[in-house]
Amino acid sequence: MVGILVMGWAVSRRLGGFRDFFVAGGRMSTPVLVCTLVSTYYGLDVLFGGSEVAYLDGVVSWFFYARPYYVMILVAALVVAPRLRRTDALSLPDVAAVYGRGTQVAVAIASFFYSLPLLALMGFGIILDVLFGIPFAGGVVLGAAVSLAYTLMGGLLADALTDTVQFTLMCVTLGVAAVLVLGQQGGVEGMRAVLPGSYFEPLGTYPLPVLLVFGLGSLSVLVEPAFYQRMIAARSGKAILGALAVGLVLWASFDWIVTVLGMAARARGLEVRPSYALLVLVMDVLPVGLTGLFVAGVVATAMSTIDSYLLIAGGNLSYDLYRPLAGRPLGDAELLRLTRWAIVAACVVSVACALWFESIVSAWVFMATLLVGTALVPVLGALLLRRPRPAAGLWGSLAGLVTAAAGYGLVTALGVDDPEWGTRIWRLEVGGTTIDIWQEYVVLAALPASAALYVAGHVAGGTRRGGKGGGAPT
Amino acid sequence: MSTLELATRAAIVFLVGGSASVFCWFLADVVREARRRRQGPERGAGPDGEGGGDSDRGPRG
Repeated sequence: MVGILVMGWAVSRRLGGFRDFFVAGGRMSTPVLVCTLVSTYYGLDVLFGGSEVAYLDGVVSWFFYARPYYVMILVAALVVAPRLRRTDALSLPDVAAVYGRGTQVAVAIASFFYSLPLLALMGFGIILDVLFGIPFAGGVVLGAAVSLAYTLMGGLLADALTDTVQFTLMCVTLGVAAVLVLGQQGGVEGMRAVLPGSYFEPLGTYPLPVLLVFGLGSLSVLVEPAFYQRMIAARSGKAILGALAVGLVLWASFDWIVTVLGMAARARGLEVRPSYALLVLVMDVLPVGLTGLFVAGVVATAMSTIDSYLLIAGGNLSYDLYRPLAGRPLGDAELLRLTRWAIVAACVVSVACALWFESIVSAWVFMATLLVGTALVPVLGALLLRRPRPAAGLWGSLAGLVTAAAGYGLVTALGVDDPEWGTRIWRLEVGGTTIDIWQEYVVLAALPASAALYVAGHVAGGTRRGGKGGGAPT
Repeated sequence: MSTLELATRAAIVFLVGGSASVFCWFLADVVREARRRRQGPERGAGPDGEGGGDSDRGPRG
């Protein structure tokens, strides 16, 4: 932690302005991009979420929970990145500014909520609680404070450099843990003798609509704020392609190992909360020194996510929300100062939410639904269409935002928690038939609503372009 | 050896070997950048030492 703070201080001495702080001056090289992309995008949600699905249902975790993301990453690399780099955008909402301030603000709100690092902060609190007996709230505040300190000092460059160290630690310790666990379990074949056959079937036993939602979740890659920030920060398109090619191999390997470890926890007969399966298994198997190294890797995973998303959430507040509404041009120094304060504000909101939310899965579903429902159609429209129309962006983003918020609110208010599937379900009685509406299904309504209103706005809206025109390819 | 066993072993090798290789690549990048700085800034060159010619972005406001 001391090393990380020193790195933040060292980088802070080289910062020239807001662009240096927020997108590293657009000069990130391929190896730094690989590390920051892989470690940022793979947080505790993948480590504990992926192993949770594998613990409950087997290899479906990799085939339907993880694999669709690789396809979308390829689409992002080949279709989105080149067009994004032809714009002047510095952030995801900046792309939507081509439609006008209303759309930019709607996308910025969705991006802000999505970027609050709740899960990582909660994971941090749990780890420190389990290992060192530090109260959960204290662990959350400690994790937030350290991440906040070096993100404030060095911005994206400090974040990316520390990501590099954290990324290596995370990958190596997970690999070592997998070797030891599989050695004790008799390899994959040893697990096959113990686990039900369905654990080795790619479709598993999940209902088809849930598999569809797992697949649709991968669309978030196309509007992932951290992804956009790094694509903008890359030195060249060639660096992005190289980083994503290497990243894909690492992501696929990481996911597979997490899946196998989740299954190994079940094969070992561990009776724990599914999301804790991987951590408990590894603590059970690794010797003392390696356990410490693994925990350092897990903490690194959490920290790399917290710092990256705090930076984005802060930028959403200052650059994407305050700046367009300020009614006057903001100087570089003022914007940098505002962003630093906004990061502090985002951190406070994140800590408050992390301490308030009981179900982090529920919070994550809400955030992801909000982002995909609000931003996907307008942002892709801004990047892909030759003449995007202001009404299309505004109607599409607002329809997605309202549908996602209302749908999630309804399932939260009228539904009940389902311990078997670990989600919240609203049971509707229609003509004697019971219809189960999972909270995950809200995206199935928000996305079509956004697309329909976008098309309606495109047809009905005028041709005048609004905003500063940051998003359209030039 | 089954396909799953083979895939698992390959994943471990790719993850550990790949991450270690990327870290070495990063260190080499840092050393190259430090050398470039000592020799004086080459016009337009970036920290990855690839020179300034491959950037596909124009000047920004």
